[in-house]
Amino acid sequence: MEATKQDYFVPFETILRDYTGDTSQLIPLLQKLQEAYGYLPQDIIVRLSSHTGIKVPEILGVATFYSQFRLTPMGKHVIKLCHGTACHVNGADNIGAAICDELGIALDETTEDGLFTIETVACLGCCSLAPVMMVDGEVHGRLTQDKARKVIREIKKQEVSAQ
Amino acid sequence: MKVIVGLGSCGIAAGGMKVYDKLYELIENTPGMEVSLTSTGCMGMCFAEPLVEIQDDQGSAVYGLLDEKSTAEVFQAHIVQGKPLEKYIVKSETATCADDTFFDKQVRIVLARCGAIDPENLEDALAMDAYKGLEKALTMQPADVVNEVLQSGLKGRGGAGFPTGLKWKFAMNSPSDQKYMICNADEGDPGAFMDRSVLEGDPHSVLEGMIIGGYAIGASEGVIYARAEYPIAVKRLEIAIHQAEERGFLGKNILGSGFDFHIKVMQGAGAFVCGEETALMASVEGQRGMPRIRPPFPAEKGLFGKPSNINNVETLANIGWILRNGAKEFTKYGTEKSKGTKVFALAGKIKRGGLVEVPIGMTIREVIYDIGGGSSSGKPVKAVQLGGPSGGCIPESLFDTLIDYDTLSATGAIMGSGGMIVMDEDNCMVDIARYFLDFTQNESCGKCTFCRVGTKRMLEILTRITEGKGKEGDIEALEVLAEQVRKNSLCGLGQTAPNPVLTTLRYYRHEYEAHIKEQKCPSLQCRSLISYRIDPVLCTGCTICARNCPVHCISGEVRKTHVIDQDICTRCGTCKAVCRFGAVIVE
Amino acid sequence: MSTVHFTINGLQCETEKGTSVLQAALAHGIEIPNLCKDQRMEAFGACMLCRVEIDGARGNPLACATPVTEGMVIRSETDAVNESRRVCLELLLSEHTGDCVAPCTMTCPAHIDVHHYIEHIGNGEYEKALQLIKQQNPLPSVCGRVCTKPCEDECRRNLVDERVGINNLKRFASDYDRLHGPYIPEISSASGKKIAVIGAGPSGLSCAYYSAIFGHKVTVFEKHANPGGMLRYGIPSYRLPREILDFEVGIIEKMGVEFRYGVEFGKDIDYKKLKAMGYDAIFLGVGSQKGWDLGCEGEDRCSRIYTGVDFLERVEKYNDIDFTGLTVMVVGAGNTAIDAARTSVRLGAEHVQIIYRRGRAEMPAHPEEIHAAEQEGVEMVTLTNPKAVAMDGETIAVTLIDMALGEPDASGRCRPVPIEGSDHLCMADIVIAAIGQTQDLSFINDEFQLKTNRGTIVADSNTTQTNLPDVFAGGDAVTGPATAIQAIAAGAKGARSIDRFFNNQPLPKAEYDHVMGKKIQDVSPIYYEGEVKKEKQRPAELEPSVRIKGFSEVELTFTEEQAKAEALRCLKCGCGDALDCQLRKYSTKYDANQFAFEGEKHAKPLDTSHPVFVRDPKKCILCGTCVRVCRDIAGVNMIGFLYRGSGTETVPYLPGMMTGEKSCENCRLCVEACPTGALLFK
Repeated sequence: MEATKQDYFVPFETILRDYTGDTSQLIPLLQKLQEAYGYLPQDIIVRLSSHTGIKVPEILGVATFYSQFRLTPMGKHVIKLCHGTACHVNGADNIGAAICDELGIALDETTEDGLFTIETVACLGCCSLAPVMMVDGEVHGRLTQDKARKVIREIKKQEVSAQ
Repeated sequence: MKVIVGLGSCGIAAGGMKVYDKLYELIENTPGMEVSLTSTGCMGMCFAEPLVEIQDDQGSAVYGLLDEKSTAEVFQAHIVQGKPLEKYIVKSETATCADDTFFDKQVRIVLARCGAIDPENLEDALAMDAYKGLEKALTMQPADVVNEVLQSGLKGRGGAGFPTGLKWKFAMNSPSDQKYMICNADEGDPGAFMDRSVLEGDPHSVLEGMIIGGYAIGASEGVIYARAEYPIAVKRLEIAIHQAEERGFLGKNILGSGFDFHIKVMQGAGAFVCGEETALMASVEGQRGMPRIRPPFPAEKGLFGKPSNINNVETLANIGWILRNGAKEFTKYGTEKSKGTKVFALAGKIKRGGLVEVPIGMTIREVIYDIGGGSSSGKPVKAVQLGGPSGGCIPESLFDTLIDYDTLSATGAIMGSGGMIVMDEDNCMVDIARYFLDFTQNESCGKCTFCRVGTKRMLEILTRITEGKGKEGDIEALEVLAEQVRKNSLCGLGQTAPNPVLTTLRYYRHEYEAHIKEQKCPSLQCRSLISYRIDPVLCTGCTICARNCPVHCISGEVRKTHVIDQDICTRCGTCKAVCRFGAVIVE
Repeated sequence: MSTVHFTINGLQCETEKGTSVLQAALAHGIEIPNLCKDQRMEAFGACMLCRVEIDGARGNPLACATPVTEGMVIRSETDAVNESRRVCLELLLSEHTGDCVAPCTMTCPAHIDVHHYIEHIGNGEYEKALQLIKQQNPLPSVCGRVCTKPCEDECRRNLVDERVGINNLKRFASDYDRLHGPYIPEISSASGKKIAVIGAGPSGLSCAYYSAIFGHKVTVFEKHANPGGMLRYGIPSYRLPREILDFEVGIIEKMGVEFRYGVEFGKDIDYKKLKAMGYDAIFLGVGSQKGWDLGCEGEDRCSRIYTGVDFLERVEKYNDIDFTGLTVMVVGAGNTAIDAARTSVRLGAEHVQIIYRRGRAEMPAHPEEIHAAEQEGVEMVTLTNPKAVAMDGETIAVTLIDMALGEPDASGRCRPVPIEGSDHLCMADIVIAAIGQTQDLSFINDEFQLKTNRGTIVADSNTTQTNLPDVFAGGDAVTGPATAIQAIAAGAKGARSIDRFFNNQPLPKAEYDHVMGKKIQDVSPIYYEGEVKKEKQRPAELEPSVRIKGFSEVELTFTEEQAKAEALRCLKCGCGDALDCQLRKYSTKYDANQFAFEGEKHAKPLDTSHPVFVRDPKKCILCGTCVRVCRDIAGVNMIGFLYRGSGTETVPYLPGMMTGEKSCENCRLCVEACPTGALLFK
């Protein structure tokens, strides 16, 4: 157990190695930590506080202010449904309804098996291809409800065959 | 022969990587090909992505809407046999095609290099005059540089339209040992992607603008604050910074002038409000992005308490050109009060959506019809939304309005950052107002009473109206709230949040009244106020609708009339979309 | 140290350079409202309440953050500025969840400070409790027995288990005082003014009590031989023992109030005479003492038909009525009818019926009274009405007809409709018509032109003043038949009004009162989910078989243990910051209405985790002062903002919340700095 505990903080130590005491680096640090741990666990936040001297309330205040930061783990596959104006005007609501129905969860929720999280984002900047969604960093545009469902089913198939 | 594949975010999203890979494979496997295969950023013709430009001794031909199959065809015809394949051409110097006119009325100052260069290749940019403006600026006194920008009449392109030269002057005149030059690349307006395209397609233009600005105001540090949702832009900026440093355009003693300037990139973390100057600075300082009281203005007391100057990406992308060609050249474009060009991200129900750059002073009508090709849905254009959540809707009857900061303000809308969303009769204006207010409420930082609570109450009223629960007095309450929120909010987010409501009330009051008094949505969009039914005369019983219905509420036997169960129907519209007989009626 | 000159609201002023508009205005006696500017710290810019008009400025700048410059012209009280302030406050109020004043006090017509007297009882401070009660009600022992207790209907404990026995607690405190005191309030020095109170009923007695405290010389003129009005002549003694009533009247006498019995206004004295006698003001508390007749055919040819009030008055005055073996029919189902029925039982009646034209659910009498009557053997006959009466020898033959409930009438109750052909006869020895009362205003004439409306005296609802400036009126004479506590409240209001009238003082502005809901039905039980249920205390009662043998009190008073236990059930709904709250202060000043912009409110529960204070996010206005005080003044930085937008919260961090974190030092600065009741000491 000791070994695992040490391993757990290795990414943290690596990231904090370059910290020079400039507290304005809080946001980039949190971004790197989230990238390493998938989200911002409580113990990481506490450790960050003691390492930098930035009080926990302040760290939490920043972490809960910005949409990017998660204090709870996300699903393995994150679906970011664009809800920008162009997408809205071109039926993003219907796409949202379709993917929620497909996965059996509501927006901003994670499936019970921990595989999928659906988020809405304000705008992905691909307006000519509206409606758009980003899955695992890959953008899918000119969506129809059908197309959106197919993308999800593909991923589900891959997950099943990987098992 | 040069083959250039459009790999901006839109290009990639549309399948550009597959096209690129296909071409790579074909070129590799065909002996004797003297072809260079590169990529570029956004060419502006987003409606036709994926795009491939082929440059040979015949000139330039741009192919659009390619997939692997059509790419192979083009490869065979044009690349191997040298014969342009007209059926896929969207723009060409020699052949004629339907979409030719897209660029006719455009004047590409900011977007000059976008789509024409490989953004990760400094030589390409240098070949198109990158950093010539900087070279010129470094021979001038900082005050003269500021004056040049002032004379050009350039106004902030982020939306506020404040004269850039004046802003630089204030910062220049603030005495301090340390100053900051900040680029606001937190393009948060949903529906806007101008800045993204510039950052991805021509990052050096932004760097050049910043360095010139730093020199002019006396700053030695620059920060580019880019939003988290633009990873490619961030990557390209970092590459460009590295390249610029290697070449001596950045760092110590730039081009031997004795001027030191460093730029770092900081990524936003998902807060639209950080597009506001003081919130942006708070974020750079590692805090919650809550705006601060102004005065003092950033030019006096900004980042870390030092004088700072914040400019939008597009604004900075103009600077190099202005210094290189002179302020007077710049003033040749635009209107009396607003000079230069403006980039717009044209989207929505438009045939040719994409990135366009036009001289200020063109009419809305020209942009939408001459450049954009008019409505994409077959139904007439109803209105255009300008300026995102801070802007307003302009009805078709006012499309002869000139696109200029002042004339647009008179309509109740604003120039904004450049988002231009086209709508037709199927778009409900009350829903549009609700949509924007929902966005604003989500993004409100929560500090000041009027924005935090006022926009929430407005949203609640609008939501009720779209759900058919509007009541007498709702419009009046909206008007009171809109006025108070506009007058009293702490920052621009709150001050402009009521604009979509105010403009839609001004031009589409009858739609609000229909929702409230008659419980009807004239555009047949608000789900609680519409219902779908199947016309028994037209229905052939093909069962397509039943099979596609996501909630399985359509019943019927093969070749017999189908029926929608009104209690379960969610009004998603799928049945109407898939019915080939027009048998599904919305009312 | 340089001076700048400026103008504010037309006033030419000067101040030290660098002073904020807010500070400079204050120095010249002009208060610009603000909720987030703390003197010790820089301006923050959250509340937006301090915006003012400044010539040449863009928009309306924040007074807290704008330094005064030479020649500045400021306008801080224009209509536009005030409208913005009002909307700002209304937006804050629309999210605010709480009650400035507990609903029991808000509902009580006399605004007795229930929450705090119950707290005193809980602490064993019974005398303090009684004194607090008497600030608003001089007859608590009486009310402790006969009040209709509207306060209990709105008691929030109803949402947890059962309502707090407020009335029983009031009775306990007043009975305790009667046995261990009594408390006589301090009287101000003689003012030299004389007041004539007409009627020694609840409104008159109340007016006399408070007027005496002001130092005025009071004389009560009462037409009956004894004081009390309806309290004596309308409520039987088993409900209100005469000793109790006389005891409380006795206190008023001890305060120097003169009582003159057997003197009727309009006959023995009148307005002219009173003015000639030197009275500076007159309070009319003449009540509604005329009973309505049955109003059915044959009534005038019958004997032994009485109105309820006449019957009860007769029982009180003469101890000579014996109903042994008789059948009594009481028509009506209000408290007077029940009183008449239960009195008839005690007078030996063999069979007593209540005949009521509507249904059980529509009976206006208190359910407890109805229940008590049934326990004592009274028969309730509903959906029946008398159609005609005729004498049959010594008995009365009453033709009754069945009724059905039809459409609701103006009062909202269903109109009873006779069912044709359902006539049936019923014999009775005595018929008592207790179907309502009305006022006897025969003293009004050309020389005393008091304005009336539909048989009631017209008096201002805030001041009780009539059309004649020195004549005030309250109680049933103004409202029509109503409750004792309403009459008492009117009398108290009258006394305060008369005092202001004497001193030429205007009516003070009513303070803003925030409520969690207009009525208890509007309050979601979700706010009380965490409350532990506690059994409600019930006072002992006489057995029905014992009760009907005489006129002793049926219900007894709480014991001390019972009183303390019941006091602990109180949820202390009134906000602890009610006297200091800045939000309340400004809402009063700018006439804010909490219902102007209805919408979703804060619903987060109370946070009692801190050892020193309680945090109520439902009252937080997000001014950020606690965060900044902790960070900049205390230097501890243990309170932070969480989340964004309308979901933002300010949350303090405590030991153990996050391991290894140094925490709050209990300096209390945050609680002191909080402008509302969001942070209160435990």
